[in-house]
Amino acid sequence: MNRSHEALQQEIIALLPRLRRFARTITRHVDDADDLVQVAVERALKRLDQQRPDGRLDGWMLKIIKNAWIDEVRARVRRDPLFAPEEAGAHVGEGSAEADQQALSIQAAMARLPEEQRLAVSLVLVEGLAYQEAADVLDVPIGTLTSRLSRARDALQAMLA
Amino acid sequence: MIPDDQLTAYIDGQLDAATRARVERELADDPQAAERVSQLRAQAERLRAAYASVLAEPVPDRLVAAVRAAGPPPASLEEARARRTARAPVRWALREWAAVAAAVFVGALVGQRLSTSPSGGLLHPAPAGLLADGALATALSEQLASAPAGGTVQVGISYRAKEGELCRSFVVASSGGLAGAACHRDGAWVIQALARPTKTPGSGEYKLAASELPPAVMRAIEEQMDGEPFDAAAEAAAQRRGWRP
Repeated sequence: MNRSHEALQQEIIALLPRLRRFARTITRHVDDADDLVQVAVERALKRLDQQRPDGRLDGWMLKIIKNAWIDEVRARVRRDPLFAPEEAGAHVGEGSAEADQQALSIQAAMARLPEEQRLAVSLVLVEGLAYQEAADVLDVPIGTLTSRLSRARDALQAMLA
Repeated sequence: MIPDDQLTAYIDGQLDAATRARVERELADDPQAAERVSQLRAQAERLRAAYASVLAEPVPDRLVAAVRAAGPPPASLEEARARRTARAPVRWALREWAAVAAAVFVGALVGQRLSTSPSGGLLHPAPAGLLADGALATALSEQLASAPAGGTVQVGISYRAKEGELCRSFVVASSGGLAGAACHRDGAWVIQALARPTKTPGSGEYKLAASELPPAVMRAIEEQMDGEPFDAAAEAAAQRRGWRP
């Protein structure tokens, strides 16, 4: 039992870059996002002894992040999601200035989406989850997920046109 | 005319093979739908690219430490922040004890006859670390906290470390007193923590209860412990297994 607890810890460590990415789509501030991951990781480990993830670990962890966000962290984030990216401590990589600008405008557009749409986009388009997996993370029927996704696509298209 | 939800499901890879093949055939004859598909693909690609750099960032140590050192969840985000700023490096306590343990052998405690007491040495250094010896080793292997024995060594709590091995806290009442924790590894008790016990004011006696362990030892045990301390039944069962994990 302990070995598999340890194996799960290793798997969670391997997932951390993706968990941070998901948290970054939820809250743009780097430190808020990492705080969210930390809260979720501590919840997950607390739970490992009673309730093991039966399916994929990534969906299980993403769901814990989503829940931690909704019932705890959301109320306490440092700043409005629309602050300037420099203030967010965001850096968008080593790409060209043009690519960086592009990434920043996408992130800003994401931040303006209603949260339920943003989560749908993040899970399906960024994290690459199947519709059913994403619906499970969000605890909604698959039709609700696809309609949020569709509205989000239209809104993003309008903002980025 | 292909419905838009089929186009999105198509680019999201959510269609079964048959539907997918049909959509692809129809796309060949529907320039407007083909244009929509390439627009949706470009949008998805831009979204992925906008967050791709997060994957390349170094993961903060505090998150890795949070996975390794499973503790109770912070009650709030404030608490998570407070822990982030307050949290000592994960192995701080173990290093501190290592220093204390080393001090035993460089002579800081010489004169207190700890390792030259009439009952024989209680500790001896080995390649695996500092090992319990003599009466301490015997007590750790044989004494049940639920059935305390007389003698200079009292065992406190037994617990499972996150690494899986079984560990026990102890207090030595003689020779100036010593308290610590040891884990059973390859047939020996490897000292994990060592400190002077706190003397209860006025009593002149060293308290033996686990709750009276020196704070440095308590911190170390809390950090190392997986789950809760054993109850009497779990302790007895662990002893019957020879303290093997």
